[in-house]
Amino acid sequence: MSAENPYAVELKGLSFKRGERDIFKDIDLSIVRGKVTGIMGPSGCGKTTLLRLIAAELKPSRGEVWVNGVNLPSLSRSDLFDMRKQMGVLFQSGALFTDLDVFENVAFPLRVHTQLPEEMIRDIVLMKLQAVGLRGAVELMPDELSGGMKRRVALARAIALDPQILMYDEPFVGQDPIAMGVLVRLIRLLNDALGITSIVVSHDLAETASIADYIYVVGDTQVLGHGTPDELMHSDNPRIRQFMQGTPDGPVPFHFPAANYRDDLLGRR
Amino acid sequence: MRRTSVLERIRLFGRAGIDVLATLGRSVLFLLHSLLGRTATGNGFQLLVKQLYSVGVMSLAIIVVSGIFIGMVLSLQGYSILSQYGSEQAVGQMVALTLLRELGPVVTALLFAGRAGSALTAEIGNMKSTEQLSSLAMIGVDPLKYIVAPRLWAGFISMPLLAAIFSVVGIWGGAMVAIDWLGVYEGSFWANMQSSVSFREDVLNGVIKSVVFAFVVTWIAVFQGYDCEPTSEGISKATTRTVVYASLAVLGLDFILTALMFGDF
Repeated sequence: MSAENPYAVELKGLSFKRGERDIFKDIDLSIVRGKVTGIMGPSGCGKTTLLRLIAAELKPSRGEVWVNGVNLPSLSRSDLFDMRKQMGVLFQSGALFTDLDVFENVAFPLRVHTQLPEEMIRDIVLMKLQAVGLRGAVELMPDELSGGMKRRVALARAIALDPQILMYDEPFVGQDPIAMGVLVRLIRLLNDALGITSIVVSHDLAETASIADYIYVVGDTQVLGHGTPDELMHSDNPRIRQFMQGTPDGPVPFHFPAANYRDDLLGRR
Repeated sequence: MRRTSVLERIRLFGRAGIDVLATLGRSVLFLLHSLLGRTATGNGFQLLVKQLYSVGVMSLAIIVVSGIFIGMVLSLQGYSILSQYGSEQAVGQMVALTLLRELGPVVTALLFAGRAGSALTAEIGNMKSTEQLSSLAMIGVDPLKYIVAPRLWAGFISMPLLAAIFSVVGIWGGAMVAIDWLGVYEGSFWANMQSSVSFREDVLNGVIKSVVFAFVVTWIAVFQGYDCEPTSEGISKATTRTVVYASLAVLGLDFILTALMFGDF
């Protein structure tokens, strides 16, 4: 069933609230299988929240989250954990297990979900670490790694089980230019070589546009627009144009809603 | 204006009541999900042994040292009171009954809440704030089974054992002071203790108390860690709540259990 569906992920009429505040209101979004899809938008617009909704870590207030033909919010707790074996998530902080060294962090999913012999686990871990350029750091503990290195180890762990869907939360933040270039190529390569579906949440325009086949721009509780990077660059929609060109003036406000600046300074509030 | 303010106060009171009930409900679901259903992915026994070490074995030093000192103080105080009535031979009986019935389970639970409970809350809270729990969930491993359940079981198993050790070393400390220092006759010290301590009434009731305290203290500690706000301030508040709630729960439950066990209703 899932193989016939061209979409790996579909959000249908999804709404999400944090307390009284709407984060998303009735949004629809479809992510094509086997492609790299970027989810972009200004800071604080809920991009990471959207990723957590797709991974069913958060429950939507309303609407459906279909992943590989299964509506995740309707699953039982144990079925949901089974379903997550098909997904990999690269968190912004890396989220490595601090009591395990680099090798054990990458080996962790293999140890808990497979019965592979130790030699094979070792080979797979070294191959995954080689792919992210950190085979030499195999014996280090997470607190001995820089932020960028932690994220690359986390990427090796995320691909350890060869997931069908791989989600990246701000993968380019804190990477030096060399690591950034490698990472951009790696995301594309993993996607094409393993035939997986990649979802990249980021506000780094150039990097995301260079690898994404399709981009969704979210903001103000809505999907503001979607299309290929080229289509979005030449979009007529002033909100998308402002975001894609990075101009401070436009319909998308730079400032968080606030009282009149002059009144505030004069203490008239 | 006044009416609005009263209404507002009632509303806030109602909201606080709903929040407390919601937290209680969450904590019960949390406990059921952790202990029932499918077992942990991977080697659950190894995880349990690791936690037994950090929760139980690492608490041994504070339990043993406190037990000895409390036994010694009980012996000194008991001797000074009982000797006024010429009953200093009964000091062994007094030390043993006090430790087995009350101080063993209660002080162990309070020390456990301060030493292991706060550590459990801080550890789980820190895992939450550094997204390690989310990361586990995304790998398809239920953090309730993998992180929480072994810690719960380790607390349930180790605290009654620690309480037993506390009572044993307390009695030994008491004997040291009474016999070797204050000169109470050794034969009557141990004979009085042996004849007055009943296994069912005193030892078993003490064990039941420590099992109940183990359950409550560990449950509060792991739930506070799991439910905390994932910030440094949130973790610090959760750790404080663990010690305060666990201590109050232990003292309150001790009164109820004592009334049920020894109240002669």
